[in-house]
Amino acid sequence: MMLFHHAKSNHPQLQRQQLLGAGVLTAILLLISGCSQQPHSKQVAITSSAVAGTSASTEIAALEAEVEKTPNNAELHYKLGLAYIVDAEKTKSLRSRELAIKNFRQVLKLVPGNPATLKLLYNIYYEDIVAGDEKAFAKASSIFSQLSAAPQTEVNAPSLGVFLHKYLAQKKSGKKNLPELYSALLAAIHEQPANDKAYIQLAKMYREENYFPLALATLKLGAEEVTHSSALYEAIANTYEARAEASGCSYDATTYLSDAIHFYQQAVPLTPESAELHYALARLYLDKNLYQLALHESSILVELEPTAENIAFSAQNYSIIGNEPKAQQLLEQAKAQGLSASDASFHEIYMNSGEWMKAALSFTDYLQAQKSISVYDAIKADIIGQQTDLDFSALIKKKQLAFNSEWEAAVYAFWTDKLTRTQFQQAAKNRCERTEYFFYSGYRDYRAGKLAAAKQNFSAALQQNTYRFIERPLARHFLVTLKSR
Amino acid sequence: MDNTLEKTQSRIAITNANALLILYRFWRECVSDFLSKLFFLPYLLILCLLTTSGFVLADDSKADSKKIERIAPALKTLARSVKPDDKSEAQVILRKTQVHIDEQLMSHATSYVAVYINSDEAVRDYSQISVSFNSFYEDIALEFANVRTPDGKMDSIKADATQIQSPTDENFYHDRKELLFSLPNVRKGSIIEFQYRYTDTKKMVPNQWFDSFSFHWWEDRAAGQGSRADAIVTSELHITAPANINLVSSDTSRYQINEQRSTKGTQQTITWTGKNLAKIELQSAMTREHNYAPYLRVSTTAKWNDVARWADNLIEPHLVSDAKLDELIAEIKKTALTPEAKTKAVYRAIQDRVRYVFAHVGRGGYEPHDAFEVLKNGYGDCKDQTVLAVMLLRKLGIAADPALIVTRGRGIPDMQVPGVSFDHMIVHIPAQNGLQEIWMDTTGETSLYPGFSVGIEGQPALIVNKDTQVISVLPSLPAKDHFAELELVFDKFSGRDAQASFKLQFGGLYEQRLRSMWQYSSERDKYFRELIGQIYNSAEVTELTASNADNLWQPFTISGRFTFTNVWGGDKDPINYSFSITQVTNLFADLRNLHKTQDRKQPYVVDPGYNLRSRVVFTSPDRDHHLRLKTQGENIDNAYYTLIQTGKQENNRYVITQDLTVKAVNVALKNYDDFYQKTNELNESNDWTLSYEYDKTTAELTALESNGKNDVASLIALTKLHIKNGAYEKSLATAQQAVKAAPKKAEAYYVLGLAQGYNQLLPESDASFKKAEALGYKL
Repeated sequence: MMLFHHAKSNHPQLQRQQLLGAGVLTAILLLISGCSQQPHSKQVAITSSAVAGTSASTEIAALEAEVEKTPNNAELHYKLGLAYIVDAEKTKSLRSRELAIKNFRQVLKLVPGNPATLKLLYNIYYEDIVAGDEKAFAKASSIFSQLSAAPQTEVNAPSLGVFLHKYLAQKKSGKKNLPELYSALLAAIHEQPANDKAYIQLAKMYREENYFPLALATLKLGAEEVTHSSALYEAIANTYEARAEASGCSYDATTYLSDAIHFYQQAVPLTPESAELHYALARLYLDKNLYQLALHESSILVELEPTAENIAFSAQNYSIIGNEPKAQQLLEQAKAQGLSASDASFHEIYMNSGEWMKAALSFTDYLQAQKSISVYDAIKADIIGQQTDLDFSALIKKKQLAFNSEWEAAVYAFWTDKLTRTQFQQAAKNRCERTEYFFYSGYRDYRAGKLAAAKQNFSAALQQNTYRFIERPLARHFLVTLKSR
Repeated sequence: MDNTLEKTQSRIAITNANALLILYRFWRECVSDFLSKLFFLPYLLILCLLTTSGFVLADDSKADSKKIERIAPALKTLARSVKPDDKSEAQVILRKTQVHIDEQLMSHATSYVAVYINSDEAVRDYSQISVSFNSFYEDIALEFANVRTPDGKMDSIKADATQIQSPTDENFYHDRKELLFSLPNVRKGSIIEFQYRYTDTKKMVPNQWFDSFSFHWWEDRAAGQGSRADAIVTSELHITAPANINLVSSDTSRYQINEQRSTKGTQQTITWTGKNLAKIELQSAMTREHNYAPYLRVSTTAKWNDVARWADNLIEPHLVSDAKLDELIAEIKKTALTPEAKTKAVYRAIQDRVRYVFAHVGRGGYEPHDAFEVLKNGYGDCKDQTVLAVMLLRKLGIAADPALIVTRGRGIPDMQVPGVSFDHMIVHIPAQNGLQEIWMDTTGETSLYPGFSVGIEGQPALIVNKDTQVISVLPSLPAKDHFAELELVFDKFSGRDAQASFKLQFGGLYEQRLRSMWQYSSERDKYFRELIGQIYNSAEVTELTASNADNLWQPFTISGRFTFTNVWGGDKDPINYSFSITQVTNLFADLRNLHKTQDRKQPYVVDPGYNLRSRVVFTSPDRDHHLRLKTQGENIDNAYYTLIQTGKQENNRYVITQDLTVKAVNVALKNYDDFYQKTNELNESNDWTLSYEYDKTTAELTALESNGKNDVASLIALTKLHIKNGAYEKSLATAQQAVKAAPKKAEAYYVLGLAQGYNQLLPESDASFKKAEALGYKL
């Protein structure tokens, strides 16, 4: 199928950094005033100098001397712990790390339950878990359980560190053990039910194994516990989309698309500045033929992130619905914004509007930028070549042809006369495939001068209502051409 | 007479130093500082056999009639011969003693001391010199005392600056006196010198002579702050005696004291010389043995039997009865039929009828009153009570002997060479038919039978019996017998307040001390409330009851209640608890005031070892509050401490136990840092912290589980709650039951899909979800 391209991924991955947490150093900066009874600026100043490393050892020595004089001053131990952890981050000194822990523990002796200190200490142990220190889990769990509800949500659960450690180890060794990872994430959910990360990661893993219902159920459990989590709603929407796609053709599973729209909509008010959400909504509205809404979401996307890619995306949407002037205007805008001449938007929009020579030029740029090409690229080369009397075969031969599915193989076989029309028709199982069947059959009829059959097939392609397929505007274009004859 | 001026000073000094030091060490180790005064009291009662040696101030006329012979070089010469050590507070330039023993084994001795004073503290301490003596056996005379000022001028003691004092101790009427003199114009840079003479006037043990010596000069610190033993340049002891007398002495080679023996005509001379002896750093928790300071015992006999027979001869004649005593014996015989019952009856009789009073002026300290007289008087000291007890026991058919003891307050002297340095007497009942060996001490004020206390535990004893040949050592109790045990139960919640009942039980030294404190404290209720309040500073001790304070047979216990105000918001608020081993150690031990490693100069001794236990029950305020264990106390096992902690969840409560054994150890100086670190680790070890928090999920789960309903809605709800609690196996079971109960119920398949998924049954989970959707569930 020839869905429009877009540089953005519509399945945002959970990045390692998210599970690693803010990192101890970042945590220090965030928590800098947590234990302080001193003016905020004073603490920042102390830590800043330590971070800058201008006189870390002097700083530590001075604090050590003060602590020696007043060993029961929690504030001093806190500062000293900070100085040591900054030094440990900078120099990778285990000794400094140990001394940081010792001083933070002393703070907790003197000021039991101090949240800032607990968080700092927890983050140290969490890092140790990720690094594979087996004793760290018990220590981290002990501290974690002492955190009150609010600060608990600001850190990752201890088992999330276990998950990350195991995930990295499995990746390194190449030995996959998914149950082990599932268990770690379930434990993390139990430890921290009010945090969305483990639900999202677990659902993602279920989704990747095509257990969509379990993924959705997991995310919905999360949504019961974590209200107002944009990431959770977005993950649910992603999963619905993926489930729709996994059905073979999302246009045959429009309920899932509606569900996806519903959850993206839930996410928007929580993170109104998220361009990702509006991009997803624009796609889905287009899929549902709600083109006004789709265009509106596209405009928001461009407003939020006026990148060349996003403007080009908007241009393609206009092109799909046949508003060529607007599409080309936006395309020029994207070009001015730096859209690469090799971007597929150029030739696709020109193809849709029947500007074949422009399409040929853009397609040449496009082809030259590709290492391998798809079946649809090869077909595009033929169509553009036929419409312009240009020959792309030399260029095409230099590229490796990639088949992503049996259906693509069938499309190519039909296109290269290795499959009969009937066989091709029998291979088309869903609306998406039928769209392509009708279009490519119609185009063949069109080239053979069987205009009635071509007209019939182009019309049938349009009737599949696969709104984001490029075959749809192309079919419309050739129908217009036929009518004009 | 064997008692010499030299010996007396040195022994008193050792007594003072050791007694104070060891007492100090002991209560510092085992009880909080403010318990110390009361801790001293029973100790004073133990010290009933006063040191038998001492001074008798020589009659002035007699002193004048004798020519004073200076035994040291001129002070000017001495001052020139020594380069003062600027770093020391004071430096003894010369300590020299000459002892002459005559044919009758009476001794005459002269002692000289010169001290360079180099600090204000030393000025205070050395401005007044005190020497203790026993006026029954000894005669004393100060021959001269001078001060050489920093500018080289000499100033002599004033006539009105010398006196004899009788120490005033309640319940003690004795022959111990002190020679006290004040030196004029002592300043930093001064050198003081004094020489005194003492002469035996009576013999303690006929045909024997013995004594003990310290090579340092032990000086009482001002204001009763213990003693000091400064560095010494030269310490000399010369003993001359008829050549035909065999003088036995202890080995001083380990102290680098040189011994030389010579004979000239009919006289023998033994000289001990020590050069540049270091200052003795007195610190808490030092060893009981006297091996930290050069020490010497000299005797005319090597046989303890000689001492035992002397003591037996002294005591045996007083084992006499009269009608009243016979009446008591008959009375006991009527009711006490077994050896154990008889022994206990004797203990009770003395506790009930004889008050502890020391009244022995003019008797020399070792000879008791007659047994019947003690009963008749209704008071008596340790030897009196012992004589009465031995008399009663023997008449009741129980073998028993008096036993002379060196109490813990005097440390453990080197007992290789016989001598009379005992300060207490108790009853020894050897193992016999129907009885294990018993060491019975009746002198404590209503002490737990048989009165065996930490003050005599592990100490040397001489059983007074004609057949005794050797010194015995009293048994030492294991650490587990010296214990304090706290039971604390949080059991009441009222509004925002909570209450906890407590019970403290004791054994060994804790039982003895706490019982004594209760008996002797003037405001004991207030005092004990404050004391126990230390366990939880935020709480108030609202009830306090002591049990068995006067019971001779049952251990002393304390119980009561703590009230914690405003600790709980009530309703759905959490209640937070915490407890640490330090809450016990801060009260019953003193592990927070150790010397820092760099300040420790002596080995550190824990003696005896002890055991602190607690059992704390934290209760949930109601069924809807559930445990959240935050931190757990850790276990420790090293060379010095064993700490075992457990925590267990029981119905609606969490119970922790702590069992700390502080081992009896002698930590060498090189290992002190390790000990210090390990102690800090103990002090800083994790607390138990937990809370009972209102848990809606668990509350609902409990309600569902207990309602016994098996309808599909309950099962689905239960499955969801199990999943929420992470009890995935349980969730699978209830989900399967739900599907079985309602095979057409879409939601049942939905929760089954979840439960299967979380139990890693992924294809089954997928199938269940599909079934749920097929039945109309909107996934």
